[in-house]
Amino acid sequence: MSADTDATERDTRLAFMREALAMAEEAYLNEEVPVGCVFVHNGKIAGRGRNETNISKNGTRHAELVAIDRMLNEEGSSAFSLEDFASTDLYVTVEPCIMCASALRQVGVRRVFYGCRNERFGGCEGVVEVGKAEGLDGKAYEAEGGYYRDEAVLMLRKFYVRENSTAPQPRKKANRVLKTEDLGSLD
Amino acid sequence: MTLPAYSIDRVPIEEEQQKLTTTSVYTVRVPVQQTSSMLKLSQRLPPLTNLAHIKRVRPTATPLSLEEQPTAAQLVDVVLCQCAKITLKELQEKLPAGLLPVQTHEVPAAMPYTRAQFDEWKRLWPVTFRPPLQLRELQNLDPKEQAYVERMMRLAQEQRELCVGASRVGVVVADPRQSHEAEAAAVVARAHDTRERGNPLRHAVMHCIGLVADAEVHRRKRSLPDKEEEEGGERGEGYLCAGLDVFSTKEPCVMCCMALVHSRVGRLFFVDRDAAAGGISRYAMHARKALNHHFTTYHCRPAGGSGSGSESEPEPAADAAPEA
Repeated sequence: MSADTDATERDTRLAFMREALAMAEEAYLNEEVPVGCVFVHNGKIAGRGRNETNISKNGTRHAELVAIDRMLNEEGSSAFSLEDFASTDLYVTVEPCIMCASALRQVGVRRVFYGCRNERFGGCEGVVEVGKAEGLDGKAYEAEGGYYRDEAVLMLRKFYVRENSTAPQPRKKANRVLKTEDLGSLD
Repeated sequence: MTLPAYSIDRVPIEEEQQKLTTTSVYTVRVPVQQTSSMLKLSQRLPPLTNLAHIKRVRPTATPLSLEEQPTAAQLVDVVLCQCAKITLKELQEKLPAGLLPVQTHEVPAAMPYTRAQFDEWKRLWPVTFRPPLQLRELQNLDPKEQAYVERMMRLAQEQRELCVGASRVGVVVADPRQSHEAEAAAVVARAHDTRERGNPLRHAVMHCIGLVADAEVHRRKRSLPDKEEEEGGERGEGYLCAGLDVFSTKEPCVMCCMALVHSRVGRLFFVDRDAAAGGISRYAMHARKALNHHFTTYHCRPAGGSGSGSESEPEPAADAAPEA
């Protein structure tokens, strides 16, 4: 989180990130990888999504793609159109993966705010910088992490100490302990 | 017999394209019969790290005449330790008097991955070479497989013909274990690009992955409740797109390539390269060490004649025959 953002702006962003965290919580309760997001257009939430990979048996149903598909496919409610992405920000609890980082360029999102870094798949800083790269499809965007990072990390750890029974060979995790001591205060 | 429609080249992975990098070691030149005492000495020095591919001893370049047998007088260079670990002064204090002066020598910093790298790098210093098993198996497609690839790519081209928008891509997902069967048996999903309908993410690859997933959800619903936990079915693992082949008329974009990683596909075949925005060309997404899944990728160039706009940039030959 950058220090120069004024306090009101920061409060607004944190409020939207809490909405994204609520989506992540919903994923967790449904035994999905706890990542959630909201798209914000003109100060209002224009779309919500959370990970749905397990239920769909589709490894690409990440929160961002689920939300985008819903926003563009919703019949009748023509409240949101593709062009609106140019003035839309994404709030997502975990740094978008390389796939989602590319998808966000291709729909033309304005900015991305995220909670924790995605060391394994990150497409903004974790593995490669797809969001800002030149010459790729779509439009480059700015991405900034650190909004409720600890909450996002804690939720992922809670998920991964639980056994993921849908993996090809579920690992026994009886000895796994939830680590929290490296996280800051969770206010 | 029809001529093959494509010339199929595997796209090299990171290691195969690696250029020679070097690191410095201290060496000492001794008569050949002192080799073992030098090796013993080197054991008291800091051990070599990440240099398992470096041969410790090299015969000197001093040419012997053809008639001359190797004699006791022949000299060898022995690697003592890495320069980064100890200063020359510290090293000299540990060496017995009367040795020839210690030299520093540049040696390859990594193990060669291909025959071409081996042939080049060994000129600097002798190195061992063990081409990865995986790479040996993947060298060339046999004629049966070539025919299967051509059949599937033809179906992908048919899908491409269905496109009405500016972005024209067709994709087929197939099961190589059914490759000898009729087309219908091998094809698992097929789709074309429909992004002109208002969702720029409706790429053919994404659509196919969705179709494979939907079929799996269906299959599980049909199977008996007590069989619910039993993974497998017709496709071994039954997990995402594990073991399946993807045939695309165009190199997939970054989003689609990462979707293939997430879906654990076995192999990717594509025709038109996208050097600017393709996930393989830009990020070698099929073989990034940082990612948890890799897939073998083949570039299918239309044989003999102009392709549909595919770029004909030379690809380095991926020759990795086992060391003779």
